[in-house]
Amino acid sequence: MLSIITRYIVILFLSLYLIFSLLNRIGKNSESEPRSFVTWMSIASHSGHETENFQHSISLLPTSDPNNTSVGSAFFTSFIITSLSLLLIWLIVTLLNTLLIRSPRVVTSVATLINNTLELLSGLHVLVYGLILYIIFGVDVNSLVIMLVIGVGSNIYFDLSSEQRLFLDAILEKDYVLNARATGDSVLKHIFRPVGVFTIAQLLGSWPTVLTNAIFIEIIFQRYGIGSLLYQNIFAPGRKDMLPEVDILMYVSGIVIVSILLVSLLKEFFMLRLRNDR
Amino acid sequence: MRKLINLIQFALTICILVLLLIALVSPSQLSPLIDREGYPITNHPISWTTPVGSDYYGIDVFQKLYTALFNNMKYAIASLISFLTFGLALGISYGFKGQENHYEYLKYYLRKRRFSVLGFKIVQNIANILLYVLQSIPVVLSVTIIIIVLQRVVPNPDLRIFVEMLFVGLFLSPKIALAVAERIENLQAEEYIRAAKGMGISRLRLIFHHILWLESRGTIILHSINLIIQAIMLEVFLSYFSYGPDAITLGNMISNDIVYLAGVFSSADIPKSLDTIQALSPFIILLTFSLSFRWLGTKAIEMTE
Repeated sequence: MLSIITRYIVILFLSLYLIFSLLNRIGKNSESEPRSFVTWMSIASHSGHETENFQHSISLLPTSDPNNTSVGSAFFTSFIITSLSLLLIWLIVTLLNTLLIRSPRVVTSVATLINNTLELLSGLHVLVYGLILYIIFGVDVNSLVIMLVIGVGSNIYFDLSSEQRLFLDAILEKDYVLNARATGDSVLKHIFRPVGVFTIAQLLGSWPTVLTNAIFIEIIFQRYGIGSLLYQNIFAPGRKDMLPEVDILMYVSGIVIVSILLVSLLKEFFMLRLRNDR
Repeated sequence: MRKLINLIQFALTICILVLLLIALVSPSQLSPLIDREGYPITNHPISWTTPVGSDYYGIDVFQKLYTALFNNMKYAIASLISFLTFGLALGISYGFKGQENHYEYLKYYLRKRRFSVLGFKIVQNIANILLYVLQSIPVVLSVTIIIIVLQRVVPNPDLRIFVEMLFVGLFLSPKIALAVAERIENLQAEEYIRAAKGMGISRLRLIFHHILWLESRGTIILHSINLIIQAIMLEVFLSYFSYGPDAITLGNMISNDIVYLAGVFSSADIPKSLDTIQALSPFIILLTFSLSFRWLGTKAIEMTE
């Protein structure tokens, strides 16, 4: 486990350094005050930055200053949207897969139809959904629809559903489950732990892709979050020929990469547990 | 039901391939439809000769559509080149079983007079770190950073999109690299691979012919198709926010015509039907492309297994 953590720390620093070295070439910083990676990291971890136009500052945590842009609170909003979308889709997947395993024939065929349709729709990229929603509703889209789109698009539904079905099929064929069935014991009691560990590992594995989907959707619909910070600095009309706020981009990259690596580390931990259980 | 969906997807794939074929054989320069007096026929209605009508400048929208699709395919192929090159190189380096004892390994190679970096533990570790570094940066961030850096380095937008797509392929390469690495790792223990090794087949032939071509081509094709779809979507995303190329692409068409569609279902002023159809057509192509190419990917997997 220690070697895995060390590897993740190396990966984190290399990823941040790669982005820093790319971004430090643009903006005013490259002309006036070239900074080293270590200097930037120490300022960022202690206080925050004055932005290049000096009209507002950036920090990780929210402050009382009205001119302060808090990357942390924007990330928190994206984090909540991402997690809720993932949870919603997981609930739908679990419900449909449970219906597919044991229910009356009519219910199974309806569940199959819904599942097949959702799997087919899941093949479309989240950007397609974003643009279609923009055409139908404009910018004002219901949050539930947004969460569904974030969770279904870019193959997420398909991956979650097929992996879960395969896992459930495999575990229900295990000797100890058959034995529990034969003796009249509760099957749920026996499969609860492996299914729980698998579910957590699966959700953690899908989290980075769902976060990417959420950022895309936030950019298109200008919703508050990491996407809206990117929209205001890069994608908003008229921003193309202006210098981007390099520090905001660095903060955004840093916080997103740290979160993704933490989630991946947790996933590896749960996968180890799952392997040991098997 | 499944058969019907398969049939529809097959028909859609044929339509897309026909469109690409038309684009390949027809001239890339767009010229307006002209009447007898030599004036452009603007907003020509839908007919057999102009299936989606003509636009404000008299240009056949159908011709614009297949040219856009062809241009998008060109950008996607640029992305595919870097995706496959980096992805396969990383996957092979990471998946090939490493040796702890470098000295013994080097001695073996020097005795055989055949040197290969594959198999050294340090190469595997470097590939591993590179792979995870690229994987830890989400595609939306990598694309954002690439476009703002390249905007200052490459001023020509038509050339810049190719460079951007090369970088997109590089940043997405961990997907195929991990799949290939896993395949190589699993297959190395197989008996027929050991037998091939024993027969003296070279390591490169073993990897490229036996493992990659004979055993993993379905996975490679599936990942390549997914990348093509993703590259096209990213072009649409960039063009939508006016960071795309100047050439006619699906993204530029959507970005220019979305004003006819935005809020069309909630708005009281219904736009002209021809404008709506023309504005919807790149969306339909995009949807058709996504569905049909995804089907093509699953068929590729089925055929190779």
